[in-house]
Amino acid sequence: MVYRTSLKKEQEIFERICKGDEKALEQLYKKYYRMMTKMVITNSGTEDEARDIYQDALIVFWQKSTSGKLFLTSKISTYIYSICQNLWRKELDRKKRLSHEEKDIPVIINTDIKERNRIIGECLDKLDETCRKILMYYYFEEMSMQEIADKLGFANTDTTKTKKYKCKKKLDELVKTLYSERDFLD
Amino acid sequence: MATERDFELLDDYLSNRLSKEESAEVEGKIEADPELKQEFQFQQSVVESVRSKRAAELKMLLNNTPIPFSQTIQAELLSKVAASVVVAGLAVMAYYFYQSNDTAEQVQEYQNEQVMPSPEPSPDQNSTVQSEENIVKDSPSDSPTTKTIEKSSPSSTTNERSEATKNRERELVKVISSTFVTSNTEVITRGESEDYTYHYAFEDKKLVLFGSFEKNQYQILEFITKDEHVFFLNYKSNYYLLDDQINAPAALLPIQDTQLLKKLREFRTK
Repeated sequence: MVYRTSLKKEQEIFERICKGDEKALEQLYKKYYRMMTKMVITNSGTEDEARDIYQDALIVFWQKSTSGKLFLTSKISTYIYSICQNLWRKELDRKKRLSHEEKDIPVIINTDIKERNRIIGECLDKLDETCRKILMYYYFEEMSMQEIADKLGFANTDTTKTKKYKCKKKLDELVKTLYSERDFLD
Repeated sequence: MATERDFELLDDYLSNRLSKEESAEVEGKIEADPELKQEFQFQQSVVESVRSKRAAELKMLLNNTPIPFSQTIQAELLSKVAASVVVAGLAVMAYYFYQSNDTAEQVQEYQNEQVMPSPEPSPDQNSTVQSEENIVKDSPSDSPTTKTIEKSSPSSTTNERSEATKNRERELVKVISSTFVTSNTEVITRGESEDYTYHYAFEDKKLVLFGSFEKNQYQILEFITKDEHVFFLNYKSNYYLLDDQINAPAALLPIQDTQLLKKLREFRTK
């Protein structure tokens, strides 16, 4: 009985996450915080690193769920735990590489990407809230036009499609005014 | 030149909305058309940045989510500390329990050594006497009957220890580091008598022990300070302070000062 209730709750929370319910994400985050961070900490990570890895893993889980690419065959915690393990393994490898000869190259690349993200992020901030949400839901959560319409209260998918088109065009223009196309091609 | 349809295809490609075949087709087009490739790179940067911004937003959301204390590492550490405290507490309790048992055993042993079981205990004493017999099985079979005075309970035995005795024992702690000599004091054992079952006295600088010492090993420890000679008797696991001024039989009372006992034990095991 308890097991069934637990499964039902888990299914419920997964469905909410698939629909992009951020409250459900927060609930999940709190629920498994100790379990996931402990894995990193007991594998020579700090508490900050553990939190970082867990948050990244949860975001991967969120993205896969909202985009409809995830079909859970195990418990949510098992899935997130395995993402945490993979991410932490990668981080340990990265640290190991950094302590050797490959120190400089990734730093330069990361700085470039960070700078590009920062500038485009500023352009995104100049858009109105609805535009920002439409673009984020479309590109990050990879929601369908119908899902975006439901979430933002649009009449139909055509409205969403038109709005999305306009928002994206506006963002492109903002970015292009800040940068020449060459900056991105270099 | 890239058409409106090409832009749509690029957008679908970048937002993972194409099938594998469609994606492969788009990739082919991108490679074949430099202008389209340029547009693709621009669009890719924008889409990646939007994703990165959204991920950062979600991360911010999680960072601002308060974690219940029960889920924190501190809670875990606290529970570990609490567990350690409980374990330490139990250990301390066990230690004191052991210590008190040890003291009780010493007193019990002292009692047993004095309270020699009667060869034919009365039925109502069976259980008690049985256990006493087990403890004092080294005692001679012809042990005398028990003396009332020697049946004192551990607490009354403790009470018998005067403040002066306690102080004396405390003082003697420093004596243990004084010069130790192999005692040449002659020891005479007299067995038990009706009045003296576990007593001692000094007669003409000879130590006289009253009781069933013959079958058990005992040891006299003698320490010399500039003022006095201090004698201790070690018998079984107990130590007794012997006053060489005592010339009439006096009861042997086990030392109870833990510091003095510790010193004596350390000394003997050196």
